[in-house]
Amino acid sequence: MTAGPALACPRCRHTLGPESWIDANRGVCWGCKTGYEFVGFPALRATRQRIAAQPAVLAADSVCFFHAENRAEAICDSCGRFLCAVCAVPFAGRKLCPACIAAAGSAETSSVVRERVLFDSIALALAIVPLLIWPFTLIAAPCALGMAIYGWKKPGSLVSGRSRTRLISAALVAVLEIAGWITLFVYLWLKK
Amino acid sequence: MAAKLYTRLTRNATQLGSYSSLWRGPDHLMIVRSTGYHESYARLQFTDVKAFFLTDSPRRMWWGYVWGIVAGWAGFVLILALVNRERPIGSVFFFAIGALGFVWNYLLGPGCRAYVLTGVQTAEMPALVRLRKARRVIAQLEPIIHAAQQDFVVASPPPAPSPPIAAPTEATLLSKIESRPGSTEAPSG
Repeated sequence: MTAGPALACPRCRHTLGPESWIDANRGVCWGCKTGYEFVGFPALRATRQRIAAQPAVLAADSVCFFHAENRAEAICDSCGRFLCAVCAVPFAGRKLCPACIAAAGSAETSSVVRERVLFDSIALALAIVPLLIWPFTLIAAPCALGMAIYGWKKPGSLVSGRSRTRLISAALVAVLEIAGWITLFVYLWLKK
Repeated sequence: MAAKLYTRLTRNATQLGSYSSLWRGPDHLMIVRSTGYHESYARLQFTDVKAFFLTDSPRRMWWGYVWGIVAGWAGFVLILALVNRERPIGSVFFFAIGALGFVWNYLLGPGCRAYVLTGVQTAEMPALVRLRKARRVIAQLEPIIHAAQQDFVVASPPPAPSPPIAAPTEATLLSKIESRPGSTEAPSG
């Protein structure tokens, strides 16, 4: 049984025929001479069942919010609208209507966000790293304090959660550094 | 809560100037690349995953060379110090570090590169750099992906194209005309 699509070796793009991965889940690519292991899933040879909306037949049938001619088969997990099979889109573990998915995209929810700037890490680095060459703290400490204030309401890492411990630590260190500089300047000014 | 949305699958694997990790979401796999100050997220829906590829990588060999050189050099200095009846504290320390690194690298198993194949891309998973760990993570993901794709159906092959229609020849046209009712007489003139 060697029916299936040809795949490309992920390293050299050499074509691996179906015989390379259907009957054996390991082999050697003849393009780059690299051994590989292969784990396939149904999506390799199958597709999702085609979704077809059921027309509303009876007058008592609930109909889709977006398609009045289709019978409602689901409820949007976000807004509660009745949806037909076409409009009920599986999204981040829930069934949502297209309008809610669009709203999720514009609101930068965790399901769609592509990148995050970690202001807490930047603030902490600005506060601590310049201590290695301490005169740099004259510039870096106000920057660290500003970054801690700016990043206070910004979202943190998507995976490790949001914690303000780093921001508070950075702000404290920065304030101490600024206080140190002020003390030094006052001392030098009084000494004159 | 964002923190509960994802489950960590791997620890951070370090690359040059960045590190990456692999996380499992409710219906997708997420590759996180981070510089420490900026994170980027690549999501792969379980329903889109077609296959995982694990290819060989010389990672263990190169790290073996690195730790071997450290341990070998420190061992050489250690022997010299012992011969000269000195106290080799520094070389003992570096020899221990090198030897531990060498053994640890060996115990981690052979290196690999892991790729996930979807309909539109072949994405590398930089967090999976050791074969044993990669196999463990894939074994963890396999039932979830199979469950997500359980309603998939094998697409039926398209119908075979019908043979081309040949142009009618003179003989076939004549036979058709003759077979018509009321056309038994040959045309006059």
